[in-house]
Amino acid sequence: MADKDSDGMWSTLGDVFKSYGPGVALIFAGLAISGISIYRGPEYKEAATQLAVLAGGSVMGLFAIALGVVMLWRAPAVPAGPGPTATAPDANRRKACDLFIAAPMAGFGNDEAGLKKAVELVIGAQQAMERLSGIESVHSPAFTRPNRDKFESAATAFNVELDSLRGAKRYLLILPELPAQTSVLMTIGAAITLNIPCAILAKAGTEVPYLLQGAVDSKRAQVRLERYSDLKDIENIIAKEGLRLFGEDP
Amino acid sequence: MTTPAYDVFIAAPMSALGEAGYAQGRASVLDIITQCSARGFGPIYFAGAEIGGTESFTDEAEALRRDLSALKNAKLFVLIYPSKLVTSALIEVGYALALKLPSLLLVRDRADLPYLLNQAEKAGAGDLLPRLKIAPLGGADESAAAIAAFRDELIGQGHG
Repeated sequence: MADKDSDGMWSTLGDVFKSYGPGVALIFAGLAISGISIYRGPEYKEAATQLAVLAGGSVMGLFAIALGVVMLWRAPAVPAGPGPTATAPDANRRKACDLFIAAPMAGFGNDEAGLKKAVELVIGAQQAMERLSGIESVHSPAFTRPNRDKFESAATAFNVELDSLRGAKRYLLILPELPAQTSVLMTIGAAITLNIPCAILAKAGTEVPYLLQGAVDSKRAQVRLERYSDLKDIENIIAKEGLRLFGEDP
Repeated sequence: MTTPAYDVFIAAPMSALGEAGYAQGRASVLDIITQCSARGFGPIYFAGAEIGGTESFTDEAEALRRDLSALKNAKLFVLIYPSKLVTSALIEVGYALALKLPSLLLVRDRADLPYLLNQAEKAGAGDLLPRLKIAPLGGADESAAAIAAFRDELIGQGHG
């Protein structure tokens, strides 16, 4: 990790130098030429020579400074590294996966216990799903961001999740509860619009938002809702229903 | 390709606000729509425009059908997000992003947005995403001005 950070730092410094180095160097050279001409000019005995050295040095120095400023002004932008402004490496890329499992994560805020419980449910559901024929590759934010320390910038996460969602064959939402600020409402909205078959496993008593209930009731959307009480129940539902959860024949 | 029937699709919390909150929230959005119309906008879709009170909510499946149909025929999407809420409006953000509809999120506090959305405008996912912008939610006039500015930006970029 430290090596990666170190490599990233040197790489960024290299990029900064490539973009701004020549301009800065010219400005310093200009200052040096002007300074030397002012400092050394009076050492010449003849007034005409003094004037020539002073004027020539000053003009050359000022020209170099002006050129350096122009180069800085027109310098190419430093390429963005991984961070809040990072761009997707390949906008056309789609990460195909058999199943995308979503669950509230960051929405739990400082509720570490709630987050841990959600991650356990996702891992349990993943293991149960992988026992089904046809489910081999599973993507879930819970695998890449199992705790708050692993949360990357939201912009990077946004790219990763949308990218994976577009390549997903099925979408499973685990809802132990529905905290405010959860991103899962947005991702399931996108999944419904992309015609990805969806299943929601919601803990008994968890209220499902109005339009999500609409998607469950609608014949147009492929969204199925099942209620569970604990992880064992989730495993049983998955074992019993299999891919019928997503409207598929067994 | 059909011509968009709506200049703007506005999503805002409705059933999540409760009865008293709904009336107030609806009035605020209608004020924004009035201000937008004064700025030259054509038809604007807001599900709450036809729903005077929470007792008039249509059944959920019908609401979904109407929303998706309107979204598919809209030029741009606007989310009005006054506070941290579990709301169907966030599901509509997902619809809009999947449909690649240029989206403006008007929020009282950016930190109230769900994790994946609060820096979404910096994500830069090329063809995966539409143009997306987050701006402060102010009064009706200020919000309408932000929507008009977003429309003008899109026109300037050739999305109009």
